[in-house]
Amino acid sequence: MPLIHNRIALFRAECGMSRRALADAVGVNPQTIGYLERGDYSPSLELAMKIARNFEVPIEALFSFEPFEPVWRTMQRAERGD
Amino acid sequence: MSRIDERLIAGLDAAAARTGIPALARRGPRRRRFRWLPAVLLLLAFGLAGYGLLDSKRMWLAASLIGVVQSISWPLHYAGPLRTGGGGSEIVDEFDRALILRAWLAGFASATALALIGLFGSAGLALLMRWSLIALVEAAILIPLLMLVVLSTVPTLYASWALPAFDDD
Repeated sequence: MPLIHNRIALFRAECGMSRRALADAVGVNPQTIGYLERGDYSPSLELAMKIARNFEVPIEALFSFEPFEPVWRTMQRAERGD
Repeated sequence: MSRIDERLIAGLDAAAARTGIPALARRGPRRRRFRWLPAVLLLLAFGLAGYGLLDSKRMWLAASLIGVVQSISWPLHYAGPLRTGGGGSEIVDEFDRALILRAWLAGFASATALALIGLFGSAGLALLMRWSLIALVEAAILIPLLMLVVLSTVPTLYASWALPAFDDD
């Protein structure tokens, strides 16, 4: 099974949301959110869509087959206007 | 409610809190891992089977002790990571379901492998060591007993090792 990278921790921190709050919102255990964030577990399509809907972003903004670009690099590019 | 009643109830609440049980209940249920106990019980059962096979006079003693090991190991399903109701984890989500499925598959695969090895192995040993029919039947009795121990321990063992360590945020 290919590893699915995600930015759940980043979005959660951005929203100031605890693991428990996100877990309650999407109907899983807080530990499962922890496993997802650490890459120990790849979510089902249903869970991935629920998490994306919770943050009101498209699913590809949260999950990717390729590693996500670090935030500092994105900001650097944005500053340069690339 | 009189002041004496209120003080009595407050005193009882404080006594209950001092036991530490209310704090445990507030923390919520967690997935409990058993990484070593099922492995020890499994090794013990196989050791007892070997002990019984060495001498047919000790076969029934070994079989009885394997039965004891099995009865100790079966409750692991209700206390370990395979527990699905009443607090193994808060809810049974898709992670739990996938883990439980993989754990039981590992258990059934191990039991099937043991049955095949046990049947052909006991037949081979009977031919090599010229066992009587009674000795062969006695040896064959160990196979289902060992299968029960495998089914009692391997799923919990698998789930306990497959469950990553977790720290709360």
